[in-house]
Amino acid sequence: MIEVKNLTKKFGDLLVLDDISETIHEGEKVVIVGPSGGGKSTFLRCLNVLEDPTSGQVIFEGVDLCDRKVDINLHRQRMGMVFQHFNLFNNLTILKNITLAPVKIGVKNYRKQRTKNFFIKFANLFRKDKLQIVPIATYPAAIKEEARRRAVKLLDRIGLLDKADVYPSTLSGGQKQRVAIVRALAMNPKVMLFDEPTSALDPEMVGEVLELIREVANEGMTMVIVTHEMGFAREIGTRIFFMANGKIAEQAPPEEFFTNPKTDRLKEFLNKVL
Amino acid sequence: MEKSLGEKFYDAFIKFDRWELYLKGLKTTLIVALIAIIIGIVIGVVVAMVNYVNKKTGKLKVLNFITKIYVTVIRGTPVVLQMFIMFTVIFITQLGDLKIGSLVWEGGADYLIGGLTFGLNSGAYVAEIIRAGFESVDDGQMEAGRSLGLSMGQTVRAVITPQAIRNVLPPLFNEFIILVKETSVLGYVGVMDLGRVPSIITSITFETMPPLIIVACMYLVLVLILTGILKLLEKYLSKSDRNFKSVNVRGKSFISYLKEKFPVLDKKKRIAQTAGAESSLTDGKTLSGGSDSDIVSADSSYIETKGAVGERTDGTDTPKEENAESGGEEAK
Ligand SMILES: Nc1ncnc2c1ncn2[C@@H]1O[C@H](COP(=O)(O)OP(=O)(O)O)[C@@H](O)[C@H]1O
Ligand SMILES: [Mg+2]
Repeated sequence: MIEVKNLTKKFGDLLVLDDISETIHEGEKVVIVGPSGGGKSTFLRCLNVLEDPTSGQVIFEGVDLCDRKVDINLHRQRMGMVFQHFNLFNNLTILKNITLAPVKIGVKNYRKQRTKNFFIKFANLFRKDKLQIVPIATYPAAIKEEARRRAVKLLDRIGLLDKADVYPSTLSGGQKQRVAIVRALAMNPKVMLFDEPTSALDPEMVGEVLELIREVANEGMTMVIVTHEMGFAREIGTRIFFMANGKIAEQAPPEEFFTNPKTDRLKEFLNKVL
Repeated sequence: MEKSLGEKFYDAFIKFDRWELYLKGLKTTLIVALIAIIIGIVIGVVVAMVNYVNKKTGKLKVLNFITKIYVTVIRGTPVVLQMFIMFTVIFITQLGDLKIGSLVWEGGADYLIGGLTFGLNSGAYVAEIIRAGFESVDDGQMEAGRSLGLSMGQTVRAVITPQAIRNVLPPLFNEFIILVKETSVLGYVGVMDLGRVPSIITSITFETMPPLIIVACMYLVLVLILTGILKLLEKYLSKSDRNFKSVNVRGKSFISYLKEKFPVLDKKKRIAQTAGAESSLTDGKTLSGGSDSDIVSADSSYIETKGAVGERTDGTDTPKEENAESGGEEAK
């Protein structure tokens, strides 16, 4: 599903990702652990090209996202991302946080189609072989209503429907992160990327967020999760990457990863965190 | 015979309705400052946008270079010189003689030279205000927008700008206050603003001090009032922190916030009060009925939030447009 080929990222002279090649298959839950500064976030952010790779390819559903000609926005809609610091839109209510992207993108597509149809009609005035007009399936009002309906359903699912019309600053960290997760889910992504989703949370709120991620995982979502929660990694991961010095230094299924580490580097790391 | 102090001030202000001259000057000062800040905002927004796009995407290199020169020159030279240069340019090109402005508006030439000089000057500073306002919005907001598949433009419009406007409004208003004071040098090129009035009065009464003192007091009072409004604006924006809206607190605009604080400003309420006092019950009832609910909503944030909830849930309308628009109104 995601194929990474010779991915290299430099910040100035600093080599952060060193020629990584890896494939992530549909339904996999890849968990990335490793020392701070090892390049985990950068790797994750290269997967949806929030960070422009210096060289290499990220092929998602057969399309090279690093290709400048590719409409990256189109493909990002199919990759959800959850950030350490939630990054909810401060100026929008919880409900609108969730509906913003579906509505904006839906309405934009509608307008594009409408403009296209207009030109087709215009061209048809002068053509013998008439061009086919693509009928518009949904109109803005319907797009908005559908987005709202979905958002309400998602909020209900995480028990925060009563927060629909408040602003993010009034929510607890755990609530914010759960909203951020369903905000990403509202786009119907094929894969979800998590960058330390619980690192900025008070300990008592970690559980509720992990529970939601677990639920989403159990529904079959493909996931790439950077985390320091080793218990969670072991429980949910189908494959664990150990990232250090810009490389995937070691990888294995969870049992083997935690019970039978091969490299000294990983042994040392596990000793420290377990 | 030496006149008494009182007589001197009488001569300078009251005699032959000379105070009308002061008010005329005050009007010119305010209009020039208003034109200048509007031109300044337009230029500032363009400059800031060019810089922003250039920084984020590396495009618009030439335009960005031009704006750099503009900002450097404007900020690096005294505004009085800029004014003389502008005056000379307008004089040479006879823009002023064409009376483009005065055809539609008495004193148009004054507004033209004052507005252009200080608008061009202000633009460089407003650009900086806007840049700082946008920069103080957390990068994570843009990343979140982009990660959802929104374009940069969409994210800027719907998410970044409403948050930046909050940061921008107070310093922008402050820039307006600065303009009110700074434009007083326009008298040197013959603009009949408040700063020019003392010399005219003196040429009639041959007393220097009284008109100077009067005009100084007028500037002071004006600036104090404007500063007071600025303080209110800041307080209002910080109050809206918890319930974020760029220029609306729980659906309330700054204007209605002011009305609530100073009921005198509220025409509707004033009418309601007088109507209630004077006329029959039925008339007063309908009117004060409206204002009553205003008072309720002002006092009880609970009811108000409820009202706002209903408003928001009935459509996932584009929020940024509302915000941006009301923001523009506020700025004006
Ligand atoms: N935008 C950036 N500019 C410069 N250096 C960066 C940037 N982002 C990350 N780095 C550097 O890249 C290295 C890896 O960072 P990161 O991917 O965040 O690691 P991790 O998530 O594993 O802690 C660090 O040394 C960090 O300082
Ligand atoms: Mg990190």
